[in-house]
Amino acid sequence: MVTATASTYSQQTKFTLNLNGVAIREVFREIEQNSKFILLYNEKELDLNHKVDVKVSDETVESILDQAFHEINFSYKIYDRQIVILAPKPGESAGNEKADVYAEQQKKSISGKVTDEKGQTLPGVSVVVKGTTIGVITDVKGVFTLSNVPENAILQFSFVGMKTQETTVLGKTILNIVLTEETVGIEEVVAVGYGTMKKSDITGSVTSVTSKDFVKGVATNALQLLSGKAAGVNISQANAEPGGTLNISVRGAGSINSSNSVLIVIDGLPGGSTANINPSDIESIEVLKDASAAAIYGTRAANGVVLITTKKGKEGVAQVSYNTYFAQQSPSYKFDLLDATQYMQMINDISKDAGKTIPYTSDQVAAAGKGTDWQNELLRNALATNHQLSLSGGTKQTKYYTSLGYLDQDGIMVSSGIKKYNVLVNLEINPSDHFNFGINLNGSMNKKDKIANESNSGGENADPLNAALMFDPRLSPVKNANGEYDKNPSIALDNPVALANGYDFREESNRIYGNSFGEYKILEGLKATIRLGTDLNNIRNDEYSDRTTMKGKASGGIGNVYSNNSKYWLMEGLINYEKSFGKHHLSLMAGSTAERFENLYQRSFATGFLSDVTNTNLLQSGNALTYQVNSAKTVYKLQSYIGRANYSFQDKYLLTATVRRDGTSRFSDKNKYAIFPSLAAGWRITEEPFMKKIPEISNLKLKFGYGRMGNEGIGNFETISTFVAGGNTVLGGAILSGAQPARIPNPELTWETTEEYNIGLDFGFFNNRISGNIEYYKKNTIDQLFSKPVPMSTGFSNIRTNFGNVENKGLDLSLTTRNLTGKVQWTSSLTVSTLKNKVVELPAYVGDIITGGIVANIPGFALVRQGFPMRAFYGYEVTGIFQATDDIAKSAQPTAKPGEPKFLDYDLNGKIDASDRVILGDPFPDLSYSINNSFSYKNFNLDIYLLGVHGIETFNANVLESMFPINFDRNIMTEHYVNRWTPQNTGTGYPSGVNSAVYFANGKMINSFTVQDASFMRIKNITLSYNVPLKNFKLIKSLTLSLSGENLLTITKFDGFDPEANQTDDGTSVAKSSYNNYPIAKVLRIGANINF
Amino acid sequence: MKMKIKISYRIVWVSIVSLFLSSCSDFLKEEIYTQYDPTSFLQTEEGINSVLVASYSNMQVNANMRDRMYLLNEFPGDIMWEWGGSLESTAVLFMGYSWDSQSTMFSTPWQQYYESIRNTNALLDNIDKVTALSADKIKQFKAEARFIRAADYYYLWEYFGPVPLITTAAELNLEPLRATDAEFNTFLSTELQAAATDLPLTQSLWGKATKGAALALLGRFYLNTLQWQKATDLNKQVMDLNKYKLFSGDLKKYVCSSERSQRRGHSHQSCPHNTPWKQLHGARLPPKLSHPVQLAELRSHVLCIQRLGQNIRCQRQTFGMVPVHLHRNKRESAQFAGSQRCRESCPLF
Repeated sequence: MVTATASTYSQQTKFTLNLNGVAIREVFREIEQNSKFILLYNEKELDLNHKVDVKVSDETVESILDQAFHEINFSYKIYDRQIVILAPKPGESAGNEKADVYAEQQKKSISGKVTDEKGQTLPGVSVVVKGTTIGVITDVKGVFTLSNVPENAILQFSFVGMKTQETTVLGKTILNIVLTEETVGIEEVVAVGYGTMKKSDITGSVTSVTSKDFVKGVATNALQLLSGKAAGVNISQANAEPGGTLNISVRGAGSINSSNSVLIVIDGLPGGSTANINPSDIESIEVLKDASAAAIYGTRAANGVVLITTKKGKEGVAQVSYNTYFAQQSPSYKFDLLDATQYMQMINDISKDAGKTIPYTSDQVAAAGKGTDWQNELLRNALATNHQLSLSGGTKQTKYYTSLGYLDQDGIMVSSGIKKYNVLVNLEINPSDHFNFGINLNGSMNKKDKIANESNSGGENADPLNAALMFDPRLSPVKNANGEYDKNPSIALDNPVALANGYDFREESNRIYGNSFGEYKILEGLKATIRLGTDLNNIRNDEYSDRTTMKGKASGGIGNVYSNNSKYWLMEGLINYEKSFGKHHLSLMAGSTAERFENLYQRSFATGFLSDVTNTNLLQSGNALTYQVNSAKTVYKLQSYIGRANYSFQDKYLLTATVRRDGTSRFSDKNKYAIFPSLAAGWRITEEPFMKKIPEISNLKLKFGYGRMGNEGIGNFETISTFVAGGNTVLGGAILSGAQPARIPNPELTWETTEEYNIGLDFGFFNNRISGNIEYYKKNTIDQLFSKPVPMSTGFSNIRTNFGNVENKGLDLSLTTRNLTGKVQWTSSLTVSTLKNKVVELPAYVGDIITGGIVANIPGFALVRQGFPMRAFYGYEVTGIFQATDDIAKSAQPTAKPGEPKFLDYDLNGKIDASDRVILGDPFPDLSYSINNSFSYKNFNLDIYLLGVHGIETFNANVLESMFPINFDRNIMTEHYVNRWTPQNTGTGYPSGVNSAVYFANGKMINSFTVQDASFMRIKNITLSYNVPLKNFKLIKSLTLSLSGENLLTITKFDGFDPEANQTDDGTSVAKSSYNNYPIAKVLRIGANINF
Repeated sequence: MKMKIKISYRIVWVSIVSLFLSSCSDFLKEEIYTQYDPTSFLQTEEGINSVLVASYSNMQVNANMRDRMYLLNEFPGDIMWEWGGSLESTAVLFMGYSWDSQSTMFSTPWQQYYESIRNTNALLDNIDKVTALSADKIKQFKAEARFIRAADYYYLWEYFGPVPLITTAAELNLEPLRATDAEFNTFLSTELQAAATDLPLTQSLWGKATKGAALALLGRFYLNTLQWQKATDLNKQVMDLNKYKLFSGDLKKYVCSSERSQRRGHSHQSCPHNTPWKQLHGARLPPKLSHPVQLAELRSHVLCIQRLGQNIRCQRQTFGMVPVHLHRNKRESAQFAGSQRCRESCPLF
């Protein structure tokens, strides 16, 4: 009887054993180790310590079991690779052990309910008695009933997208099963650039974040979804304006003079923009962090690559889904400035201390009251609404995903906001087994109402927020009798309200991008793909300053329209080959791509209009003498060959090699092409037999990778000679236009190259209850682009050359622990990364490079010097305040007065000069971290997301303007007035404020007051969602409601709207400063997600 | 039948993909739009003309007339000084002989003349490849470029003495050597003589190089290098062109009266408007300006400027300074040269 049901496997698998007096447990272990048999038994019935003798020689498993069970009358049943051990029925004799258990055993009926983790019932789950064809499918309520189930049967529950679960029925009649989602564990497939790979086969550093792990909240930019989620990837909101810029850096920054921005690849199309995609359409985001992963993108890989994959249709009935949220945004910070009374008091006090006449009488001060809070005039509570409707589904032949998105977000500053419209169509057609066609089309329209936030002269061109922080609080925010806004002439700033409302700044971008591909299976394992892609983008900016602003009034209105029209296309051919030979597995990819980038620019400008009502719509009505026109066209091209080979042996030893040969129109024939190779190896330690003895370790993989990547941050024409317009002169009484050579061409010029080593360990313990990875990297960016001075007798002042070396190294750790898995589920995720940036080598000719210059009157503060982090803050260290009792005459500042700051005499030469500047900090965080805790109980889900950076500094120009006002009548921060040094208040750390123009002169304004610690910890998001149970509701399949709060709390020592913000825009995204940055909003959001 | 279709698909597909894999070779040629591609640009008359225009432009060191004339010439001497005014910080370098190569007074002309030289070199390197223009035109363009380049070197010489002679833009000379006096002399003689041969007597555009300009410039160089006979011969050649004559007129009109200044009780020069003297506003002269040599020199300067003042750029093209390197040691001869220079070369344009 046994042999009748025994599988072929049991007949083919032979054992040779010689065991005397061993426990049954040992016998079972021998079987399991030497075969793929799994033994199932009830520990309560079977005494595993029972000693038996087993002696077999090249015999089947039955022989072993017969010998082992000889004394105890247990029987067994073999279903393929599973052996079920059965206890003897009472009264049964040893002789009957081979009786058919199906026939003999008591059969019973079993029923139960299948639900998912959220408690949602699951209809259509297949329930099968393992090893048989007996089975049913759960009904609409997730309920199943199975009759005639043997007592020792095993039930298998399987459902698409869920982990298959097995349960023995022993002694039960009701079985309630909770199926868990197929965890994005080890068999996940991730995008790797020009293809996908099983996560387990990956040898490079790739972080994959899927939609369910995205940062929740109001997002206008896809990168916001990733904030803090990937260790080593630092995403900061440089400008918190709706639709404002985000900075992303992957593992530090390597380039001193060129761009440090990442390459965005959307559905295989490189160069996309994360601002023009609807975040709700994104399925997953992968970050290729190290060179071995990113080098396949060659010259664009040096700063990391972000791959965005949009949602695709799945086989099945049409799924309609509607997502919406409403968010209330409010300012999360306000500067504490002086009110009208304090303001007058401050001017009186400082005048008095300076020995000047006191301008205001005590009656005037007493009558002033609070005055106007100019920040309140600009800041507001604002609403954001978002709607997304998607339709997806498909058959075996055709799959589709389409979506419409609309976001309307008002900014928390007046006259700012964004409206975003998105449409996405993803279509995939498989007419036969051999063909596969797809099209992916994305359209977006972004309309931004912007508010000026620009580097300015600190005067009437100041942006509104800048003016608000320094404006006279005694003035009224409404127009006066003359229809004009009040101004204080001695402050030399325009009225903040006038600046906000009288300056109209709009940006509209219309972008269509997408690609289509065709895939043909030539032979088994051999596949050829072609892909055509395009990206068309029009951005138009309209700026108009009307006559309510000082600037607009002086010129009779100022109109400026400029637009960029960019076109891009891509053609690509790929061949893939995949083959297994026994224990070897090989997959190869080779291809070629060609890309062309074109940009058209146009600008029109005029002033002196008939009327303000035409805004920028009738520039020709301006004064013809003020017309300015500009236009430009730039084109560059890339042509590349790519290749990748993956080899694995027994799924244990993995090897990946990639190569990209990139050619660019920007380089001379001599250096047209450059090769960017990479090599990586992986060892899946847990696949080794010896590791099987340690079941606690569920996954362990060691990775090592090396690669070279390029930085394309170089302009056109650097290697060829061209002539540019310039050098006009008067000949024959008229001005003639000249033309002259633009540069010394350097045909030797080549890419900035980044070399990176990465070593990593992926781990999982206790059935992946604890999992994560840790990686260490070191990367060096060499051949930096520098302008090398040449003798002026060449007619030029410099030539572009390659030189220099910047190093980034650090540790990335990510850890996920499933703390509770029962009724209450609790999962924690942690990412931690460290970063050390250092300029290793600089060309001798450059000396110290000091940049900054966010405003004309603020000197450079960011230093590039060998041995220090790039763009480190460079200024004077304040060591204290001079007291009346100090021997000032003998100090390094002999002319200082009590109450003035004491600077560190770094070179001890007895005076304070430029050589006393020291490194006051750097713009790279020593440590970045994020912690997410996710709890679920029944239908409730709670996510708490925290993130922070530590050991980062920023230059705070607003503090500078408060402590060192360029104009005596400007308002300042309360702290700098109340806590200032006075002969009575000597214990304070702040200087007297008297004569700051003297004591902070000559660049001393860059000091340890104005360079501030920008470390912070922020409760980024708390989201509570509830899965509404829908019984007998046919129309709606599911409904999830959520309530969330964003940016609820920020703990920082920084004084300003946002420690994360950055005002410096020098193209390298490294130097960091804060200056009137758009305030970050605290958000309260309710949302719903409905599936029909 | 079905098999056939499959095979043909296969062939089509493979050929499409291989088409993609192959690349056309000139795809990566850089396309130039906002700038000018020298290979085509310098083939056209407009292109060559515009490079000449830029060369003329750079030859004119603008906005520096006051600096060059008075700071450089007079502040290191004992005629002028300055204190308390906005010019002091600049003037102090020259009163105290503490200027260095960073002073824009020197770096700007150095840079600009060499830019002009660069432009003419780029043009001269290319012009023999021009096929679209007549040989006569090419000859004239060449002569004009050689004149500008020689003039640039002449003005550099006035500031710095013999300087490195860079005569091509094709090779980068990163360690140029100063030319010897003899080399410099030969270069200027050859270049200006050659230019003079091919340049026309008059140009349709006023201000462009002429035969007379080339000869007079060389004559001035000979004069300033004390090659009297050569100077005489060259300037005679200019006179023989029968196009120019010596200036005659009332000098006093253009000279500020220092007596009048004194009467007004302060040292500030009070000058009639619309004379180049207004350049001196802001600078202060010593109360007595009576030394005959000083007065003569000033007069000659003013004379020159006024004559050429119709076009201020013209002044800089033609009006030579007392060379700095001669200033201290050869003051007397320089003064002589200065006054000679004016009489001889001013009327050229």
